[in-house]
Amino acid sequence: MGTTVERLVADDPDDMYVQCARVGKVYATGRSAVQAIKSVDLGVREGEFVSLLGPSGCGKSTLLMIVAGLETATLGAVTVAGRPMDEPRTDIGIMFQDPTLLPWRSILENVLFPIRMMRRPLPAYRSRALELLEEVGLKDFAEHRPRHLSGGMRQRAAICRALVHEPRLLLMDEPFSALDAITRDEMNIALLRMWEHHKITALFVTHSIREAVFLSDRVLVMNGRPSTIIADMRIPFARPRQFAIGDTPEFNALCGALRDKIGEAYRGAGTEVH
Amino acid sequence: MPTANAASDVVLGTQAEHRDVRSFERATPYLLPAATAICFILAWEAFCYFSGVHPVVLPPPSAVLAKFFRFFPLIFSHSVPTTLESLVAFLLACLLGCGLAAVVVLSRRMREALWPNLVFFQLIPKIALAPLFIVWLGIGSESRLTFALFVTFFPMLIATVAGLEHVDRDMLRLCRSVGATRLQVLFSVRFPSAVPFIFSGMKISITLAIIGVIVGEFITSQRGLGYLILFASSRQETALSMAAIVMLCIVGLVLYGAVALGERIMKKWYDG
Ligand SMILES: Nc1ncnc2c1ncn2[C@@H]1O[C@H](COP(=O)(O)OP(=O)(O)O)[C@@H](O)[C@H]1O
Ligand SMILES: [Mg+2]
Repeated sequence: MGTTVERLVADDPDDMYVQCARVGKVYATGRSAVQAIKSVDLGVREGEFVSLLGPSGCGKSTLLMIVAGLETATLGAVTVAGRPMDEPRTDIGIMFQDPTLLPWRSILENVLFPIRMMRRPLPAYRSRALELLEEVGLKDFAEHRPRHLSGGMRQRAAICRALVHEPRLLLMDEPFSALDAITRDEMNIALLRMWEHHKITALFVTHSIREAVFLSDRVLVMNGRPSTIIADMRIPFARPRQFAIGDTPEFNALCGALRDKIGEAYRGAGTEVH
Repeated sequence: MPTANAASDVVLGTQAEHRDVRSFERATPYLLPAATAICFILAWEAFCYFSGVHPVVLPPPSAVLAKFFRFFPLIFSHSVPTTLESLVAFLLACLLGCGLAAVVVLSRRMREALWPNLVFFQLIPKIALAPLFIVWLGIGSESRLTFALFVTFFPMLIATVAGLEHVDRDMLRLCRSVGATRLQVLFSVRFPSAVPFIFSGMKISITLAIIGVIVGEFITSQRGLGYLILFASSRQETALSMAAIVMLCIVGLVLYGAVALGERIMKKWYDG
């Protein structure tokens, strides 16, 4: 293992807001079974921004869904805020690659959708929803339908929807990978602002090395078949972060080190790097 | 290139010419089918006139039209029960189709129990069952309605199930993560997103409803356009029979048009 890598398990597990202990997942599909995750140990401290980085198909989404309580681990255990995670919980917000807004509802109604599903009183959350929309610059679009918004704007509305019920943990599965590069940079900045303002814990799945480095306090590299976490790298840049850090040698060195880690795992698994 | 220049000269004509080209282009989807239909009717008229075919075998369009206007009160009075029964059969099919689709989508067990049977059921040529309905339900409108419902509801069911299941997987995950119940998901997410599918099903079902009612009227009724068509044919009144068919086409167009209009209104609501 490289020198920049520190092993996480040594940390005090009680300190961790999200704690996965030897989490494994086998999908049983008909007669065959797919081992999506071999064994994952990870911890995310409260208020931390952690990215899960890895190539497609390495089980990132699966792991995130297990943390969300939407899939059950076939091995090991997950705790969030000290409580075991065995079913979906409302102290968690989620975002996906597609904004999945309801086309027949206004942006505001879409943001309030989780509140409606939780059968909480809508009027009590209306002003919060409008504040969130204002934070991401969508206040004037509250009454618009999703169709009238660009892809980036829709995904910003999806951030508001994920935060409207005041979750303490935000889980994101490649939320910006369907956006163009310029919009994606804007979204990264917008996301960091929201994360700082609302002081939430964030677990972010991506397959973009630069995105992971720009956003995170720590980047966990997931790889191998079946997969585990093969590296855990601290990203030391001060916050709030600016685009400019992307041009610094330190930033590029970190990206290079992560790329090497991913490459190592490929060679270890006997696969060529593309 | 001289040819390109010449072409652009033509293209860059006056504003008026531009507008002419555009309005003509816009009108062709209506003009062409209308012109084709008129040509066909004229050819039919000419054929009857020149071939001397007996009007009982093939009356000319002019005779059909004359009958249509002369017997309009009669034809209209027969069209009323046909229209109403078609509508009722259609509405029942919508209710039954949506209800059964909801059951099948909500419960995996129900789906396993019902779906293969429904598909098998659909394979029966339903026209063949029409006489049985008379045995079971008599010759009243219950019999015709049930038969028409039978013919009509399956496309409704298929379309609705497809619509209810069309929902994005991540949307369903979001619903589960915020603790939505299955019924909440059904009514807040699945049904609204199924609406475009449901309207596609409705467009098929409304035409099938009319077919079902007409077949029912062929074998049971003393009223209705189906009855009139059969009655006129048996009296060798082919022109009247065809006039009744004209009325049937009008009924079909109106009912289909109403569904299509509903679909337009729904699209406005859906997309905003
Ligand atoms: N519902 C499922 N059933 C069976 N196999 C699955 C399912 N979901 C994911 N997999 C498999 O598990 C592996 C990891 O998938 P996923 O977690 O989506 O990876 P990633 O998000 O990193 O691209 C893949 O090989 C995928 O084919
Ligand atoms: Mg994925």
